[in-house]
Amino acid sequence: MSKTVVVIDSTADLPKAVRDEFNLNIVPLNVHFGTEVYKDQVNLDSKTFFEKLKSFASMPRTSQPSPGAFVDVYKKVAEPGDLVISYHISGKASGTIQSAMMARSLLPDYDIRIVDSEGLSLHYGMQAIEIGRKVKENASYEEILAHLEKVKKNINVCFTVETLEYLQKNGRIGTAKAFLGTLLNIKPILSIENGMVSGVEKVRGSKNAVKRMLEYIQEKLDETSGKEIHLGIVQGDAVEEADHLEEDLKRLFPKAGPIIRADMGPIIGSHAGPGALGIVAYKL
Amino acid sequence: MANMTKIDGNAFRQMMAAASSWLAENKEKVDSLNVFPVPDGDTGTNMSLTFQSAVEELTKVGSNKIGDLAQALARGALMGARGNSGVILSQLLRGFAQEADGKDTLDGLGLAKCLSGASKMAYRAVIKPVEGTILTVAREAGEASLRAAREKNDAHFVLKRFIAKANVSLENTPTHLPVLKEAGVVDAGGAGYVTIWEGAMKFIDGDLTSTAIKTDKVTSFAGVLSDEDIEFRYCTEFIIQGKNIPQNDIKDYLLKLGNSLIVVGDEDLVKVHVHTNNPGLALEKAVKYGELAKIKIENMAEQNREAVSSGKAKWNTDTGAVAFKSAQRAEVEQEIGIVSIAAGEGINEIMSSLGANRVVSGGQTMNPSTADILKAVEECPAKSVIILPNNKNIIFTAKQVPSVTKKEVFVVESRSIPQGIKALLSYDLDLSAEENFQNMSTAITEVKTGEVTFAVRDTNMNGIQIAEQDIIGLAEGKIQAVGKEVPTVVKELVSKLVDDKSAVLTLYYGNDIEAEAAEALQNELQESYPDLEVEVYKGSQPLYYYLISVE
Repeated sequence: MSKTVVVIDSTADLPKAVRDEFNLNIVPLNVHFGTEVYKDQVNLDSKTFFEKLKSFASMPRTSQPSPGAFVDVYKKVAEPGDLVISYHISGKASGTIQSAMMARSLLPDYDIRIVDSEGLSLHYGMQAIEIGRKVKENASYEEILAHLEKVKKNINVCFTVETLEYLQKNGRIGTAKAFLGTLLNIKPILSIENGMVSGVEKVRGSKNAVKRMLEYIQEKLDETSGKEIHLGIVQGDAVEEADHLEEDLKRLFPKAGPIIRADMGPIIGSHAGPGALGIVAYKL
Repeated sequence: MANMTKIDGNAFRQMMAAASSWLAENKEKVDSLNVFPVPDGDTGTNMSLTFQSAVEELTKVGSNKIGDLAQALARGALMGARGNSGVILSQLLRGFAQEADGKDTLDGLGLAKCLSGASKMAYRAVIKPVEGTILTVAREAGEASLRAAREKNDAHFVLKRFIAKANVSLENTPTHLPVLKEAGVVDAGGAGYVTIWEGAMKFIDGDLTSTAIKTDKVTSFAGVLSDEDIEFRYCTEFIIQGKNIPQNDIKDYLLKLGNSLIVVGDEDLVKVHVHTNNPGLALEKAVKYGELAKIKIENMAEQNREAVSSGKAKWNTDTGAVAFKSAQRAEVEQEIGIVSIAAGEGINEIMSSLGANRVVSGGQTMNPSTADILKAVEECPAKSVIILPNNKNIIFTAKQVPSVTKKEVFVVESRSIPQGIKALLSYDLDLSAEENFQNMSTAITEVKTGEVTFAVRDTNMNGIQIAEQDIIGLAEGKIQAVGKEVPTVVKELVSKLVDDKSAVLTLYYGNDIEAEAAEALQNELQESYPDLEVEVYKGSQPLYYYLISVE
């Protein structure tokens, strides 16, 4: 009997336990420290990455998985006749989806549906979870797409970074560029729009930044109808701050389900830099 | 003079002067060769300026001994060294001087020893020597000069062979460095070094038609690298003057920050050149060991972009990282302009950095006229302009402006500098002027203002007795603290402004306050309020010792 499998990429920043629970198979992106190459989540985790980032003099570089890497994963998790949903990081931020498409053209016997999440990090990861959830419920591909559309419409994200330097260096900044170049110590509140980082607000101080992020999420959730609240926190080298944020979120949304905690991986981490902290939230 | 077998002091002086002017004459040609390590196109200029500074030092020396002259040349080069190539040149000259030490004149063998000693010193100074550069040219030509000297102990003969080999070596640089081959050029630093000695030779030959570098077939190659290729953005240079400067510690540290690292000099004087993304960290480290001089920081990516935009080279990139920096600086026509009224260079800079297009000078006791504000409004390259008066006595004046201009003008009723800064923080380029006006008007209510100044006369306010010249602290315009010492009044005032919702306390210190005093106060306040983020900035404002914001 044919089955439906889900393939994602490592930029979803989902912990292994969550990936296992929702049967999400990952294709890792690559991280280059000088001449050393690591496979995201395979032989380089978030914590080690940020330690290396601090001691490494220049910027690490990242690269999309090769088409071959996709071919390997597709062949491993599926057989001809199976339905593969290959769900990925925003095509505007990464060429990952390009590699997936090339891999698909190498496997004409397979039914591979490649979909752009227009998301980044946990913002993309939590959408992938919803696919996994629907697959578990034996939903059809059409049902999954319809569900996904609703999730995409309702999902909210905001995050703050220690410095915009990393995003700037990598040209991944979209409309947040207006935040650059101030002399004051500013914490930017950022979001993701149309698959790119966008600016929300400039705030003084970390405490105010967290306060404003919580307000933003509250406002956005109030605008949408639905019963279940889904929450996630992603952090890169900011575990303590994330712990505090989790308490705040539990207090603000006591009826929400368990909060997904994600460690920002090397790929997003090398673009956001250390100290990034974000909230993903949606109502269904 | 063509049969000069020995070089004496006079000849050396004139050779170096000739070398300097020959290099100056050819510097553009050398510049156009520059592709490694970054195509900033200034190798010739940097080497020329370095060498000029070296030759200037010669004129200060009374002695005519070669040893003393070479020493002076090396010291002048070290002090004046500019750029990667300039620093390497200074090391070549230092190696030359070391071999010349104690000598009155140079015969063929003496000169050859100096020339090969030069390259040895340079190799030692450069942390990661790269072949196919000035180093290779200096080494191979230096070796050839030693062979020549053994053949014939004649300075003229030695130098001639040195130059011949240097040219061959220079032609070979592309075989070592693919980037040169790709660009179809020879190494710029190497070319500069050859030019120097050709200039010296011209003096000996009395000949002014000596071969110049063959660059006619080469078009300028500055700018072929994309931003992505520039791993380290800021070319950072400085001199440390101190005592017992640990060069190795500095090297180890700086190596972590970037590349193209050169640390040269002696225990009391060290010249540093590094390409890094953190020039601040480099300077911070250096300042621990002495006084810094001749600090130069250049954004190589910017230079690269300028070269690209001036049409010197094609460049394809999809990063989009190029546009914003220049867009920020250039006065392009925009939807919204902002005119802010403030006094003090520091405040002015902060406001500009937050998006104010014009900062009109003014404040307490020096209110600008409507005409002053109008002028700034008209100058703004925008159809809609938001005015931030930042003082309650200026709001009325500012409100006269809309009736005398064709532009759409909004006046946010900001009553203090902290309110003005808060308003600017909420500025969003993607929104309309009216939406920004609304947001700014709300934002200014979310900050509390403290001002610390002095009393201009004896008075009694809110039951507090105040004498002329007393230090007074105002919270939201009302006197809340009085005292004889500025720090005491600041602390008392802060205690009135801060509550459990406060997160950031910012002090902008005025032009009567020293940076150290402001930092000391910052530390004290940080200790008293561990939950707050206490920040201090130079405001340089008149009248107010401190402007304080709590948000």
